[in-house]
Amino acid sequence: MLNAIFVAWALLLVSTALATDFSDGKATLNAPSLDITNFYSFRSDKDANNFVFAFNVNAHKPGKVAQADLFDDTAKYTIFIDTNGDDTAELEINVFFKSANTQYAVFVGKDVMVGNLGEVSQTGNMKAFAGYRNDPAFLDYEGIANFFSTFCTKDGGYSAKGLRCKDTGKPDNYFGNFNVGSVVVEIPIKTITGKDDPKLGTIRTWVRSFKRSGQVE
Amino acid sequence: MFKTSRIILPILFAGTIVSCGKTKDSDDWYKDLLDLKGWSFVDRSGMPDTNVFLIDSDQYKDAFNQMYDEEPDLSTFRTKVKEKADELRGKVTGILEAEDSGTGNLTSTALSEMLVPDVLSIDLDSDVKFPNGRRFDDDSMDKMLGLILNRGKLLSHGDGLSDGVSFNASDLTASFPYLTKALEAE
Repeated sequence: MLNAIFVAWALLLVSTALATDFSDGKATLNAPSLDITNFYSFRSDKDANNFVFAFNVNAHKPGKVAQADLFDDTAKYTIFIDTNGDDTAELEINVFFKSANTQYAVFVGKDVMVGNLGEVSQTGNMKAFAGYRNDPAFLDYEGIANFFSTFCTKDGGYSAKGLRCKDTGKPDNYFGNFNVGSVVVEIPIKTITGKDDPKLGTIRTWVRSFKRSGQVE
Repeated sequence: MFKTSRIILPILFAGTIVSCGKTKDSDDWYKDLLDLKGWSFVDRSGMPDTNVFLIDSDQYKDAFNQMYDEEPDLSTFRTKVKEKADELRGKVTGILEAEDSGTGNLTSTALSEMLVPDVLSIDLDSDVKFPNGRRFDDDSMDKMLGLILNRGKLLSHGDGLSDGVSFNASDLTASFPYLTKALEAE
C-alpha cells in the first residue's frame, strides 16, 4: 500500500545510498549500482544536429561509494532507441565497465568509445562520459513523501507551500547534496533516424540495467 | 527483437568475467562484450518515477522494471496505473485545487497508456522538453505530479503541480557532459 511505500521512504532517509526513484523495488534497493535513478534525453544546446542521452545510478552522499562500486563491472546498461513506434529498438547504446570501473566502453551500435572513468571520450561526432557527478535531480523529497503518506491529515492541513503540510518546514532540494554515477552520450541525430533533417521523426527511448544470469536463451 | 530472461538468478560471473577468451583486465577488455548472452533485466527507466507513485508492492515494482513491452504485461500494468491514479486523485480531492477538466482533463486511462510501457517519447519537430523528452533542467517532478493527479494543465503546456523546488542553473555546465563535478566529502 502507498502508506507502506512512503514509510519505507522515510526509513530510507537515513540511508547513505539512495535513489531518486526511491522505492523502486527490492532488486534495485539491493543493487544500487544497477538502480537507474533518472533518465534524460534531449537535443544538444551546443549542436542542434546532436542528441544527448544520459542516465544516473547509485545516488549517494559524497565519499560514501568507492569507484569500484559506482557501476557494476559485471553488468550491462543499455539505452534503447525506437524510431518506428513498435517499441523495439532500432539502435542500442550499450555501456560496460572494466574491472573496478577503471574504464568504460560505450557502444553506439557497433561503434565504440573507450575512456577512463571521469574522462570524456570521442569518436567522430560522438562523445561519451562515465563517472561521478553531482546528482542533477531536484525535488522536495521529504515534503512529497510526507504529503503522500498523510495527505496532511496529521499536520494541521495543507500549507500550499509546494506539497508541504503545515508545520513540516519549507520545500528543500534533498538531492542537491548527493552524487551519482553518470553516463552521458551525445550522438548525431542522423545516426538515430537516418535522416538529414534533425527535426524529422519521433524517438521512443528507455534505459535498462542487466545482470548476467548464466542463462543463455 | 531481443529476448532476455527477466528472472534474477544467482550471479555466476561476479568479479572478473571472461568473455570469449578475453578477461576484463586486459587492454582489449571490451572487444567481445556485445556478443555476451544470458542477461537478466534488473531496472528500467523511461518516464520518471512511474514505479514509485503508481505501482504497489515490491513484487510488482520489480516486475514493472523487468516487464516486456507486450501483452499480458501491458494490460496488467496499465490496469495497476489506472487504479492507483484514481485512488490518489480521490485522496487529494478537497486538499488541492480541483482537477483539470474539459479538453485539459487527462483521464486515468489515458495516463496509463502514456506511462505503460515506460518510455520517453520525443517528437523531434517540437520543442524537446519534458514530457517531450527530458532535459537536466526540466522540472519533471512538477509535471509528473500534475500528470498523476490531473492538475496543472499539462495537456495545454501548463507547469504541473509544484513541489516548491526549482532548478538551480549552477547545477549544469555549458560543455559536455554538462553535469557538474561530484561534491567532495565533508
